[in-house]
Amino acid sequence: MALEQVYEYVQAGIDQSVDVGSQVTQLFEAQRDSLYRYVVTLIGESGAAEEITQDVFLKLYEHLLKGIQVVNVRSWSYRVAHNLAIDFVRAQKLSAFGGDILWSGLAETCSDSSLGPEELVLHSEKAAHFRTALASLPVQQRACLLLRAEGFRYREIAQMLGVAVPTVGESLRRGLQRLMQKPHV
Amino acid sequence: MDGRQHLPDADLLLYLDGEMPPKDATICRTHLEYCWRCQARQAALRNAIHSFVGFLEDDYSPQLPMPPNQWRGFDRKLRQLQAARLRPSWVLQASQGLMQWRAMLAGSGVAAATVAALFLFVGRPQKLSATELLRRVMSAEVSTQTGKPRRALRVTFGKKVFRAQAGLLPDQIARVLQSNHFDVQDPISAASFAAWRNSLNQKEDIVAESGGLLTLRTKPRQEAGEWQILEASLTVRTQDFYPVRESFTIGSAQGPETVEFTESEDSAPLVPPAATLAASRLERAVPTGITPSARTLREVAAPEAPPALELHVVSRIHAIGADLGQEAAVSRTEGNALAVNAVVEHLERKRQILAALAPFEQNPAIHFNILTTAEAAGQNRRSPGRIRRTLLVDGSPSGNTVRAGPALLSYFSSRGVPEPELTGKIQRFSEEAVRHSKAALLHSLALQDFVTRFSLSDMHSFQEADRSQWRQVICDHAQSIADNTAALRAQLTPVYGIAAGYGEKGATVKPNGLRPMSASLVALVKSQDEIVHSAFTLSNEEASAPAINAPLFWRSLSEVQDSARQIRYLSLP
Repeated sequence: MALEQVYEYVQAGIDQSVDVGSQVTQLFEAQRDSLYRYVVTLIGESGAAEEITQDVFLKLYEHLLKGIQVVNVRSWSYRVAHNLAIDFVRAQKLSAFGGDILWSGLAETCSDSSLGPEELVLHSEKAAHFRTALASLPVQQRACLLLRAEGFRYREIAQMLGVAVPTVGESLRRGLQRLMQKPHV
Repeated sequence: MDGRQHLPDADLLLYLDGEMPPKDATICRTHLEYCWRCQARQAALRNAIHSFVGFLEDDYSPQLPMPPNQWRGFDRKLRQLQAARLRPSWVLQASQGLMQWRAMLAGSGVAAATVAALFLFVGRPQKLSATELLRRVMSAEVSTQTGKPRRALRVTFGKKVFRAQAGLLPDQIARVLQSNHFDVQDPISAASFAAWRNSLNQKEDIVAESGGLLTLRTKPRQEAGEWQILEASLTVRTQDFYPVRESFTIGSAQGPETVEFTESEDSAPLVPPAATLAASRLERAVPTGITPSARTLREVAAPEAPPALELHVVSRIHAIGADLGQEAAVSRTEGNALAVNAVVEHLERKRQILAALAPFEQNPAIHFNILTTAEAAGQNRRSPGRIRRTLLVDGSPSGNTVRAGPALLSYFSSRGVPEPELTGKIQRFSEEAVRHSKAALLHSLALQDFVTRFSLSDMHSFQEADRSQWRQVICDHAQSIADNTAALRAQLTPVYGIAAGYGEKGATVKPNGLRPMSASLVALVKSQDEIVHSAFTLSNEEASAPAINAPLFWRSLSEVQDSARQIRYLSLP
């Protein structure tokens, strides 16, 4: 079944002639990687990000069984994922992301690269700056940048994050400004 | 919106993203047609967006850690939800409770039977672990003797019983031993047993004592093929850990077969005599397939050391500064155990190192060889890769005996230092400069060694506490490099005032990534140290290094400090 057809079924609510579990599984397999990337960037913990991503679609399954209509599954899943991620961050008292992501990136820089020194300079300097800059952003700015990069519009982002539309624009502007700053030590 | 004023970044972004109301968008577009400044800022914003998206796709996403469970939990959880939906909850709870009671009763019954069997047939359980038992037996084997003649063995193979010399066993038994990593030359040995045991991915061990004998029984958890050992046991005397019996059960097409080795009655005496032929004993102890060498039994049969253990040992050595100049070197043996080698000048330093490594003393995966120079000279051993840089200034050198002498003479004279004190001042100044430079060099070499010590998979295996420890070592070294270089600059700047202003600008682009950065840092500090050493130590040779007042030297000081700070910044959590 094509993804668009699955969305149609889901948008129409429960279709007793179609197995809801299979529908949700298809959606999960189609969306999990991008959703996981978003969550793990917010919270920095790969294990918890995996759990949260799975929980999003398990909640979707429960919603559908209760007859709750989900108009836009993609927006809905990101909104639920964001809320679960924020709950996790608050529970763990995390202020900025780190954990598995930063360690993974750091470990990569200690491994033997096949790139020559000049290529390393060209390739890695900007990446290191973006990684550091992204890590230093407040969660809301980071979330806005990531969601905008995923193709969501300002209004959608505002609904997902529970903020006003102008706030989304301002968060994006500040986040981009931070990314544009020259690296300093 | 007024099109005559420059557009704020917020409006530029709204326009770029297509989020601006149509009327404002028209004004914005018209303004951008003629305003260069706004065009430039719009291009900068667009570039930032493109760079960010490129970073996400090309660098960030590929390096993200994979989901640890690879999504395996989702199907199970979904099925649980589906099952919960289909069954009334009280029925589910009742059946789950009944199943739990059944499992508990069955488990307790099996556990009770196992304990009873162990007690009756094996003896009372020991607190000694399998690893510790094997270590003690191997230590006893090494310390008591060498050159022991081959044992005469009594072999029980199924229903057959016969005598044989170790190394002259029937082909079938010899092949079974070899295929299971046992030493054909000495099957009743802890090293032989350990070699087989270490080859197992998962195993169960039971150590029990009965009648003055300790028995280690090991059973692989993995599936065993034909002629593979299903279970093996090693029995040693409790009083001296001397192995007296070894038996194993192997799988065959005809069913399990048991092979047992005991020492024949007319073989070696109860306490093996001391002997001097170390080589022959070591050769017999080497498991099949490994080239014999002058290694101890412990090294040969030591278990593999996980990366985290290596990190802990290196961190301990680092904490007492013994990682500088490779005073204490940590390396891997052929069997992937750890070897800590050190040759130190004083007994007190040896004690410090041993005290730092005391928590690992009983760990069979680590072999220690910590000696004083006197002990090493007696054993004709050398420590690996020691860096020896000695200050050649000796006695009371005059101002003309170091190349920096004239500059220092002029400096101290101008500050009113009396002539009788000049020589001493110059000497102390020189020693301090060389000390700062040498310290920076030692820390940069130790940093590079540490950064390149662990593979990517090693680092992914580290737990959170390990990661903190790893970061701390990096930070310490980077900070020491920066501090010593800053101290060197502060010391030399008053003397070389004008030259010190050179090299502050135009720093070269530094590589990113800890591995290339640490390598680059070592190269910088080495050349810097050559210059300092050339300037502040006595030498009859022509100077090959640039002068200390050359711009190259001062530029390198700045680069070293910048690089060290950047490394420290990268490693911060």
